[in-house]
Amino acid sequence: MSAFPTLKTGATLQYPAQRATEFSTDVVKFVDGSEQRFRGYQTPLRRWSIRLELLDETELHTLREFFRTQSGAAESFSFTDPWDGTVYPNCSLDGDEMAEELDDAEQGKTTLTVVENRG
Amino acid sequence: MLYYPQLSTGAVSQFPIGRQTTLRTVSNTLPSGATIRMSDPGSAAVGWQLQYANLTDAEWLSLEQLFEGAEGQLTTFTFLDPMDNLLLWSEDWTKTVWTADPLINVSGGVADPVGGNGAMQITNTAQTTQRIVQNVAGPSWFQYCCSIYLRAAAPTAVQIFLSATGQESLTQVQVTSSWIRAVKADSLSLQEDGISFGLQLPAGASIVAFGAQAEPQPAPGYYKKTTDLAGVYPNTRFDSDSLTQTTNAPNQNSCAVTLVSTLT
Repeated sequence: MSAFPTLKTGATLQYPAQRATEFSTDVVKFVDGSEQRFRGYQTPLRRWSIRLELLDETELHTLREFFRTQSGAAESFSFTDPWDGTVYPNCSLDGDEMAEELDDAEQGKTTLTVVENRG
Repeated sequence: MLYYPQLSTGAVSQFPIGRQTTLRTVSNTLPSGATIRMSDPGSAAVGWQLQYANLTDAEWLSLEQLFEGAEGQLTTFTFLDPMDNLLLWSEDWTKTVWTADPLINVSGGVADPVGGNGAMQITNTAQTTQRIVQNVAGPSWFQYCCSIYLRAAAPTAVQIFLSATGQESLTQVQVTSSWIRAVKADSLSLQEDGISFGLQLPAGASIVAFGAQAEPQPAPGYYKKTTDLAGVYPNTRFDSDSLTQTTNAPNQNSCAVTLVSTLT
């Protein structure tokens, strides 16, 4: 299985970096105001927003090729959480569109979102 | 055949360049959070946002002529992506897109200059010069820059070239035991569809090559590894039926162009 590419520095993301933890809760509300809550996910799912700037053309191209070979959100890859080093073996890109901007040969920027999958 | 024009500098575009890749995935999300995802490769598309400033009248005219020739977004033309490498399989010259003369041996898995094993050993076992070449569906008269990283255990001289039927431009390069990036930048006067980029080795020469790249510009850019998709888009269209010219002074024009293509 492929892995999310790293930059030339060896880093995966740049500051400001964002990571989210997501649960899924079903809430049933009754007429008397009481409610019952049901756990949707057995365990939470992670999501990382990877916003990259000051990329050179090689780095930007590598990310673009990764996006393409992953068929957007269709394929799965392993992602190492930069916060704690945990390897999440079943992740995919969130969304089927990748926008890039190249302001100079060493001033490329793009944003990708990685989501953890189940099943 | 219509081609998106180069500027007088030999570049296709100016900074900043915007690019979007749009794919399609059919996704079924289950209550547990599990997903079933399938790709729809037929809908893959790419778009570019190009902004031009200080275009000469001649440069503007070439853009306008293409717009009129393509009748807005009606018909297609070939666009050479300024953010990409025009050569396919830049690190695997055993693929069929590379045409080698009969006695050229190519083997992969050799240490490359960026710390991987993406380089190839290329040996000419013939008694005469032999070539390995890739054809690109671009216009022969554009300004191109071809670059290849080269090294050889025994110093030798090879030639890097671009050619079309009936005309070619070669540059001799001294290859030593240290990696160099051999560069050949030129434009042919011949006007035909298609151009080839390659290497010519003298009899008995053996070199290590890595990272072949061709770009529609006068100097080499950062290396971009390619596999089965390169920067030649023959089904490109304007994304609009309107093209607006702003003239800021005599011979100084500006405009913004949006292009779209299938991702093939």
